[in-house]
Amino acid sequence: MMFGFSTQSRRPSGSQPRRALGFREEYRGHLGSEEPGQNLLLQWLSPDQVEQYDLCLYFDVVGSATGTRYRIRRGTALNIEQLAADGCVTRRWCFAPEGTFRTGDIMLAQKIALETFELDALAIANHDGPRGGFPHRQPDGLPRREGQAGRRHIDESCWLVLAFACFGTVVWLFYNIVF
Amino acid sequence: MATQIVMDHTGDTRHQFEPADAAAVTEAEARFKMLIGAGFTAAKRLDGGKSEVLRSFDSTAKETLFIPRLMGG
Repeated sequence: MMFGFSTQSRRPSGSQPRRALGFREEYRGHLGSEEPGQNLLLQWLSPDQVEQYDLCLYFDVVGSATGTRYRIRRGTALNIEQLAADGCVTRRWCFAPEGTFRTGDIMLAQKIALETFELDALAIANHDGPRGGFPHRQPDGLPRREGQAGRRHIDESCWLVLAFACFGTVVWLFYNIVF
Repeated sequence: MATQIVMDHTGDTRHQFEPADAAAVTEAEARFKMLIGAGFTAAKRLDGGKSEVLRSFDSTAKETLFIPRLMGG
């Protein structure tokens, strides 16, 4: 099961169809305001986490058993990122309380679980695998370079073909003019 | 005043009790056992954003949060 009702985001979402947004708003209206959940979450975060969450809409926690760093993003589905030492995402995790809850409540449950019973939580969690098909992110939240490299690779191939075509045309013209 | 916060579909439900009131403490302990039995996890809020999972009722905990059973998403 995916907790598909993704959460409110301050990021622009111009690419999302209006129908989906409408449904989301309707669903969120059914749940009521997110504010109580966010207030409760803020009460339980450390000062550093509050600051980080305020700035970036995510906060980092350290796993109680392994010392692994996780980033809990504002969201309800696959919003937990396991970070490598260099800050890159190595895996995304997904677990939440059974049922329908506010975003803040879900994030708080995730924080407490990772900080106090990490292994039990991960045992029941789903993840995208170490090389899953989800877009990985850099520490700053931007898409990871490998995705950009892939796009650049395609662009470079196109330019290479075009360059060969131009070169061939020039050689052909030169041959026809000279001979 | 101590508070038990139970996460539920409406957000959260809060139960407050006075630790010096024996009857209220008994009631809070019964609630604790009932919720744990129902699969909730109880966590006590500590200073500095830290928390501790409670296996048994702690009448000194100022704020206890009950998290419903977790499941993979």
